[in-house]
Amino acid sequence: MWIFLRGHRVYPTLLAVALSSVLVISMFSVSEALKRSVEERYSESEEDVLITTRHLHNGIVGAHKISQELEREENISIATPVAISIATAHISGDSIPLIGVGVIPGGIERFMDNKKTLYLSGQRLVIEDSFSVKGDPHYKGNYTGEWTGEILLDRVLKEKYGLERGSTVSIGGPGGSRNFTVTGFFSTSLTGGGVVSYYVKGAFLMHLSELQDIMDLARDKKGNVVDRCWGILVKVNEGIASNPTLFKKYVEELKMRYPFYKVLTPEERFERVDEQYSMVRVFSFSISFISASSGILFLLGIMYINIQQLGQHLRILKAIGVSNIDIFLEVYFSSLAILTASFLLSIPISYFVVGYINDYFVSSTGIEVLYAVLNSVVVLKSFAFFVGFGSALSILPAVKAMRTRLAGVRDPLKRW
Amino acid sequence: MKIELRNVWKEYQMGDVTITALKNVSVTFNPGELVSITGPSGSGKTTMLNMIGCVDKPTRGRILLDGRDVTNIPLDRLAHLRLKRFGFVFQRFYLLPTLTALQNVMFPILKAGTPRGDAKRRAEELLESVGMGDRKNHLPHQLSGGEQQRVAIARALANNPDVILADEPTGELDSESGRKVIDLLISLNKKMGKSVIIVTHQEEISNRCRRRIRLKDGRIL
Repeated sequence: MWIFLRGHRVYPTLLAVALSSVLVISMFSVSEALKRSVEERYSESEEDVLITTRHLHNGIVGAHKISQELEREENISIATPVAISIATAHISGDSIPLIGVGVIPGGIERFMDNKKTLYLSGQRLVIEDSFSVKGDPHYKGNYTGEWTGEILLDRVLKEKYGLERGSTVSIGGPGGSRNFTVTGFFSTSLTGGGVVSYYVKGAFLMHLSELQDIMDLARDKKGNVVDRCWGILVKVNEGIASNPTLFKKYVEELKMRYPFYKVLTPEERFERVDEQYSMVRVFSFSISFISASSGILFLLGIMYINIQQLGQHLRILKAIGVSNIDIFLEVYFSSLAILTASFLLSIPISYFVVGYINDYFVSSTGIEVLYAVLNSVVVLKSFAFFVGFGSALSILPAVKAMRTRLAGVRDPLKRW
Repeated sequence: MKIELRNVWKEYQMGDVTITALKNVSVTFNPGELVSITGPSGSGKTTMLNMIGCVDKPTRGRILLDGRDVTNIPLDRLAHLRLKRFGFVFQRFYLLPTLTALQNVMFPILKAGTPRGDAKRRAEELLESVGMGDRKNHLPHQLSGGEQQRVAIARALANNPDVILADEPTGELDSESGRKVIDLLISLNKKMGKSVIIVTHQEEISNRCRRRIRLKDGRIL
């Protein structure tokens, strides 16, 4: 008869529980999007093998030389080194920490897909323009070659500082500062939001050797050339790439050849990064848990108030023969009904929230990436979590109601 | 249904003090009887009604329903027994405030396992029989005391019990409403053959019952 689902307090309770459910669905949506995004980045990345040390540490020595040696092998179609380092840009009087990516134009383009998208270190860069000077001229003669002075800038900086092609920016690091001419722009999810953007405010691309020189990655303390980089992207020949057995064998060979570096396939990189993202998922799950707990505890509070208010009536119901299990089920199913109705109400609200999250981040990064995904899997997962958790806790008020002690016919407050 | 109380004692512990509410009470109620239980406050009237209705268990002695000893049967089975065999009418009505008159009467019918459609039909018939058919969709607070008590009587009749137990059913009503309620209970006895046991301290109600039991200090006089 739903004796606990009547009265004015049902509607605000529904709404409050629905709002906590919205947060649960949103967090699950973000987590799903993150998982998808990682999968997508590694499934769409163009390199077959990455030789690296560890995340953002430029630990490979002799980057240009190793790449050239690899390219001479018949099994490899191209190998190109990449350095990643945090530098300081001086723009309009501001000193801005930026992520600098050093690449060799002419090589790096072969790792982009048709949409001019480059996947680097699990991040997506959509490169709208290219360098006018191909190759890496400054590297020639042990970093005595000519500087190109070209830089591609993050679109975020263009919009913030009103920079155009041809503008000059100064980039500095441990190896000194130099002025560069902006030759184009790119968009990236790297600095669009989250923890990274708290510290770094954008990114830039430049010729590898020029970044190495500025960031002191070209020489060691004694002045000897070390030519350090973060990783070498390798694309194998079609014959190897299309044969999993040969590919695996060749990767094993590379691992033997470079025992001090990590030789990773996209699958192995996905596993590593997925482990890193699992922390984010734990964080997102924690927020879901806290939110669900708040909503469910609010509901339980309301149910306890209802039980207290109808306490005398419950005792009388027991006196006239309504069984303990009936009273338990009455309370329990009332809680479940509110939980389920709240969850259903929260789905359309979540749809708008998830849409807003996507719009906000897409507009701030300029990249069409889903930051939250609301699909049937997410809804089912959220339902299982929210209603499952709620149904477990709903046992408490139901037991409380069931344990209301039997009343005498005359005085319902008199208990035996 | 024949109800027998044999040498029933009931004691309550109030801190260090033991209060004896019933002292060696033996009494039999035959099917279809109209009985009043009277006596001063504290004489054990309500305690005796609770024993008859299996709401409470005696400290000593036995209770038999149709010759079957129910003194020691488990509480959940006693609940089922109360639901099917007894109808209770309380002084303060105790209708569920969130349910309409119709839903209040339907509640015990549904809990007895009757399908919803049948439960609704039966509840409507019962409300009609107590003169509340036109007020069935009203909530308790929209009804007068007399009307609420009539709904409570309809609820007591929900599962067609053998026995109606009424504890001071007119205690909260004005004299006119009280008279109508007693008329209704007596008619249930006469027309439907229900056993009706009324606890009251009003002599005029007691005088309308064919059998009167007087209690004093926990003993039948």
